Amino acid sequence: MTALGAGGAHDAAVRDVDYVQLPRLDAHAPLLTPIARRAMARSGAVLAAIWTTGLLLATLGEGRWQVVGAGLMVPGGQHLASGHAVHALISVLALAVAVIIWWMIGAVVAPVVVWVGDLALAATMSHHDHAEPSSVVAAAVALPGVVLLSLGVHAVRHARRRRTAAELNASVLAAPAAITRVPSSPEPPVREASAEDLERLRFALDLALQPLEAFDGFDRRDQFREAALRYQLCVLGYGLAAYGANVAPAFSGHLAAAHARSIEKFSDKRVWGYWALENAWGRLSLKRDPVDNGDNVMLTGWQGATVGMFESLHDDRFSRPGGLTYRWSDDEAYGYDLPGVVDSIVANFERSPFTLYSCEPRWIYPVCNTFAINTLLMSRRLHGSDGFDRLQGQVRDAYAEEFHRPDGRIIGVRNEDLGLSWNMWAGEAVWLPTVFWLHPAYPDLAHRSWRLMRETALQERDGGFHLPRGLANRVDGGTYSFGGEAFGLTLLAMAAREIGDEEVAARALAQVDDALPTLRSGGAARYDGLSTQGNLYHLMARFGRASGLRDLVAHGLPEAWRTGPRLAEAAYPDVLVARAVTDGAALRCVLRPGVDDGLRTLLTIDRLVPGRAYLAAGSLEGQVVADADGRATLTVDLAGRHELVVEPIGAVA
Amino acid sequence: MVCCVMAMAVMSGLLKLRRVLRGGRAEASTAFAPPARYGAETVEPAERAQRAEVAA
Repeated sequence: MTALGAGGAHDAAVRDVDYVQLPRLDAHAPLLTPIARRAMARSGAVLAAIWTTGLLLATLGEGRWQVVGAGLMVPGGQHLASGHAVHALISVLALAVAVIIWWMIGAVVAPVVVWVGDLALAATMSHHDHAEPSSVVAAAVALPGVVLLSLGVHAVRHARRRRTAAELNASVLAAPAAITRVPSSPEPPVREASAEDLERLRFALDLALQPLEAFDGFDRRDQFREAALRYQLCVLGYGLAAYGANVAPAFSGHLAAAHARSIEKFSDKRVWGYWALENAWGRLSLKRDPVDNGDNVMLTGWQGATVGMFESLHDDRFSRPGGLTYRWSDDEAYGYDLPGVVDSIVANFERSPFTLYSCEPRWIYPVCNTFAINTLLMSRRLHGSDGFDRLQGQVRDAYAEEFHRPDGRIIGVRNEDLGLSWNMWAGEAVWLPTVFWLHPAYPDLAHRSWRLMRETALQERDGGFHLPRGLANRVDGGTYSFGGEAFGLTLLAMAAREIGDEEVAARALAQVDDALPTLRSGGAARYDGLSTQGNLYHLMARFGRASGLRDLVAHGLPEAWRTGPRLAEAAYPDVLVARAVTDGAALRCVLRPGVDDGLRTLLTIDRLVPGRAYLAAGSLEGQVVADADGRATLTVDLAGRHELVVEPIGAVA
Repeated sequence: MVCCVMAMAVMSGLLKLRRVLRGGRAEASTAFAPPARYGAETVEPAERAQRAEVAA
């Protein structure tokens, strides 16, 4: 079945689609999901043992032992038992902060140190040598009370979500969805970039092409959370890949160099060195290896995806031994390659009881695992690896059962040991990238999420689309600054365009453009008031197209694009490539000068047939003969939009 | 949501503290990377000047 796209330059191609019934929400989902229930039972048993020990001390012991017993039954219980309620409250708050630190940077030691340290401190204080019986009872019932209360609140919410699931199945999810095949069309559309597109692309090219050790133009906040360099580098690579696949698939040159350098920058300890700390305070291990470990999908998954895209578009340099090397010092480095990263991902999917595995030690983010599954999907195509085929069902079940609520919203994070999830991490700002990145491997889940968000969460008012008001939807993850909608709207546009909802994509991008001023410098442009990461996500949206990611990840480039003539070298920034495409025999380019006045420059074309004569319309030579390596050099004068067509003589239409 | 705000506030506070401790100039982000050059210098300056003249 074939349907015409929704319209617009980004979606003008005829696409092959199947109309598919979206997966139903589980209106009878169990109160606790199976794997999470087992994790909760295990951690609950440990807590129960500690609580019981405390109870025994509190009931059988005397004086200070009773105080310690109260402190074992509940954090701060030692203060409560001694009659210091305010101190007990401070203890609980300190533990809450420690848990947040654990979540933020994976430091499992933080809550343990706070609880045990506070208990040890209190046990040695002179005024903690007696316990009030009524306070001991309060300490004894506090933890079970909190657990029961939490379960009760969860049960109420769960019942409401199951009712919502039944309603949504009968309404929003009743109609089938048009899901593109792989590839979405035999000849994917290649659009021409505008002058403004190229200005914004230059922002990314300049970031990537600076010396390896330089990070000018990147936001420098911390290396643990969302603003870390590793995410900026990966999104930089994804943006360049979107431009490469949808605008210039027959261009290598400075595009390949920029994408490669964005990957090579990972070698720098400032990018990956965070792992040594997180592994130490999260797994109590001094191993620094960022790949051979039980977590860190926030590196292996994310980097695997950008490397897979690079290899799909350019060459296999990162699949050669040592292609991905993480350097700690002159004497210490960890050499890997794409297959090595894939091995780590497969081993961890197989190791984790939830199948999905952790970023920071013990904290599983399903959005980061989407990058891992995309890496496996690309590795299957590029190297014939079997990880995706073996694990795809298991990973799908994990997403469907353990990481979606009954009402269809994504569970943004879950603790591997406790089995608990944080409700506040289930917002649209997390949902949107999950929709986008799930599309290649699990398009039905991605479309279901998109449909639910479009119909139940997205608000249309004042001529624009808006995510629900809420701090999580008003934070720029690249700088942690609150207030603006631009970051969320950019993610909205990116997901909408991929899923094929061009109306939402175009309007969301226009809203960003209306809301933010543009900074220009040296021929490059970026939005002011949006982080570097946000600007790079913007490029992903700007250069994306319907099923663009799905085609690139699952199918790669068509055979003719992989083997046909290619623009191999063009000086940057003198030459900007607005379009470059091949049909396997001819090369068609649209070029623009990157400097204000005109210029004469040399271009190198490769993958020509050695010894064959070509017409080169738009070059000063007019025609060339390819050398023994299938290469030719052409001279062009650029003064504005310039078309260059290189086609074999005798094949002119 | 409260936890999210607390987490962001903690992160924001730590970053501000670090900046204060380092005299306010640590790792200031720049809006752009310096303009990059890549590839052979193939532009012919004479031609460029000639075209600039024509344009003027």
